[in-house]
Amino acid sequence: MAIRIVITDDHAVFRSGLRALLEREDDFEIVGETGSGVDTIKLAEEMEFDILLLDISMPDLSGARVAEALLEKYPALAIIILTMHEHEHYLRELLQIGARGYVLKKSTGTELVQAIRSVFRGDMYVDPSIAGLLVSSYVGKPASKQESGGLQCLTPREKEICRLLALGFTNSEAAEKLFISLRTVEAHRGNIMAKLDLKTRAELVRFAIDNGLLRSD
Amino acid sequence: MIVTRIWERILSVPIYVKILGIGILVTFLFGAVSYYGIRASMYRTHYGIHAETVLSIARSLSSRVGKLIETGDAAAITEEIALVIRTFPDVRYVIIQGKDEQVLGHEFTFPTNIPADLMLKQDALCASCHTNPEAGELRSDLYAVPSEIVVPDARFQLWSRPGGLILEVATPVPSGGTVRVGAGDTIIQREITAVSQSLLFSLGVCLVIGQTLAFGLAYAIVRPIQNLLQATNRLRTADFDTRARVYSDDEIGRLAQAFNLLAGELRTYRREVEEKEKVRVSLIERIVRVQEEERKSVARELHDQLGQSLSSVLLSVQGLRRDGVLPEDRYSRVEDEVRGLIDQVRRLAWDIRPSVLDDYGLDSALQRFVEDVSKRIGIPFDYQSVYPVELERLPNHIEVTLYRVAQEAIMNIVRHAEAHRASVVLFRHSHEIILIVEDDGRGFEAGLVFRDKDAALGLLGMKERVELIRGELTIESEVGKGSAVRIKIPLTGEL
Ligand SMILES: Nc1ncnc2c1ncn2[C@@H]1O[C@H](COP(=O)(O)OP(=O)(O)OP(=O)(O)O)[C@@H](O)[C@H]1O
Ligand SMILES: [Mg+2]
Repeated sequence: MAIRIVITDDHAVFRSGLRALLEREDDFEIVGETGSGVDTIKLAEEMEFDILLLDISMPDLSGARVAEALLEKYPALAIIILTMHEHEHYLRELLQIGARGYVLKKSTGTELVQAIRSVFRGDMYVDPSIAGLLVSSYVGKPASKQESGGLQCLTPREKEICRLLALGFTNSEAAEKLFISLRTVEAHRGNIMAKLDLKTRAELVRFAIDNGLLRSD
Repeated sequence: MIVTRIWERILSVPIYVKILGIGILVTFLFGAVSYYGIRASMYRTHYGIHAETVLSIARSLSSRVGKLIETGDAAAITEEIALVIRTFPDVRYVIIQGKDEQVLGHEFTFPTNIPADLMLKQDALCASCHTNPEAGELRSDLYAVPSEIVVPDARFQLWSRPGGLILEVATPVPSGGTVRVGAGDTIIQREITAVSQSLLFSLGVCLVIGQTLAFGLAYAIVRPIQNLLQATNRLRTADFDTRARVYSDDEIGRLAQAFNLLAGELRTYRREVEEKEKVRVSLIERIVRVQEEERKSVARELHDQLGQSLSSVLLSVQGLRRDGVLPEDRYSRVEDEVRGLIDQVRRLAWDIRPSVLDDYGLDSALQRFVEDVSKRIGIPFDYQSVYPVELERLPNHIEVTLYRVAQEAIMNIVRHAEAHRASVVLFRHSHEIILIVEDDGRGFEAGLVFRDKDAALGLLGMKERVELIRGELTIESEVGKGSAVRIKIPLTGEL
């Protein structure tokens, strides 16, 4: 039994190229072709198909919204995103919505064919050239450094200054708020950074978040 | 030097003090001069009359005692002397001397004092009537005042004693001998004191009246000036509706009128400036908006049209490869080239306006930008946001502004800071959003940089854009101490 495929892409030339490419496979059958998400949703009401090749950037309705709408109605539908976007945000969002494949338009035809086959089998397929993004975004940021003493090694004054800096005060604003001189704040800040082995304000903010310094307001 | 400083001191005294001071000074000077002048002339006339009176007393006595001296009737002489002293209360002593200046009779209303010229002959003198004179009695309290007037037939002499001046008139007795009459000036003194006192009293009254008037004048002068000063201060706080009160039509009043005219003109001028500023702001706002819209559509066009077309080309090449007309590696080369083109287009579109900014918001776009720069430049850029997902997305123009400003600040770090590290922090609170871009590089004097407007177009543009959305941009930097750019945008009210 052939794999029934629908192509949704606002770019007609691309669609026809794609159709030509896929129709060479014996077990693929292109059952539909639309230029917009709205048309696809209408089409889904009329006929059944196995795989939807879906573009993200389209004028009326973005691929993400189309996928959402379709998967709500037909949870079993296998959607493969076929896009130019190489950024982890798009990848992550669409996988979260429930797309089963993510393939870049610049990848080779064989890759797309492979993606369709494995998704049809029930697997997931993410373009190898961006699968790395997914991994790095899951690994995420290193936790703030804990080994160097943490909150206890700060004096109450330093803690207060740390909190203000992490809240987005400039040095002179912190000085004004605490009725001390700018130089004093700078000195405290230097001490705080040295004690906690922090290098940048971003690290300081992370430290403050992890140690609950920002909660009290 | 010192003179000018003292002069300045005097001039800096309040007007009140100046006017009152002049009043007091003039009154005192006038009072003192007239007081002493009047006293002096009173002394002169009174003493003239006094001298004539005493002279006539002495003359009449001398005419009466001539015969008595010749007869040597001491009792009658004493009687005559007593009569004179009783009749004229101001007469202090009378001495009658014979031809050889021997004292024939005398009486003093003060017992212990004797004119100095008689002191020499005191033994003879006193022995003539005092049986046992005591040393203490003979002391002289009368000092000659160095003024002696000689009238042909009389000799005037002034003595001073604690009780006052004594004027002595000595007249010769035609048949030989001298009559000396000493008179005190108690009456004159009393008279002059009374006149002086009334003079002082009227002077005091004048002073009080004068000062009251001067105070009134000072008030009349100072009040409009103070009113004007207050109005000026209000004007300085941009209260252009303020008007100074015009109290009178004198110079100060005209100054106040001029001030009011000035305030009115300032107000018009200010309004014009405000209008222009409004036009300027809306112009900038439009330029920025149009520019962003343009960028957005160009980026879209590149990404979605050119990119897509290239993708189609790629597909066609892949289709051709299946047909296998040419050798395999030729297709691969074309495919790789097209892929490279797609990447270039994508990057170009991204640089012009990242689609993530529109599709996923500021946090994602900034994070991505910071990572890109960090990778490209090799300066470790740290990004941290406090960006609760449950808060709804910011209005697009705020996101775009913050993104652009952050880009400028980051590019400044890349180009100028020579930093080892830099970081970008984004705080999203419910009422405001804060963006901080910091580095530990060489720093700069923001004040100095801003003074040269042409050299700081980047920073000025950032400021301008932030102010368009009612935010504030603060630069905290010092040479050698890195720099921090902070943008704070309030999220209250309509955006
Ligand atoms: N992070 C920084 N560290 C050190 N110096 C800086 C930093 N940011 C700005 N400056 C200084 O301030 C000057 C003005 O910066 P600005 O961004 O206004 O202009 P620019 O970067 O020279 O030119 P452009 O208009 O292209 O941005 C810079 O020339 C530089 O000397
Ligand atoms: Mg710049």
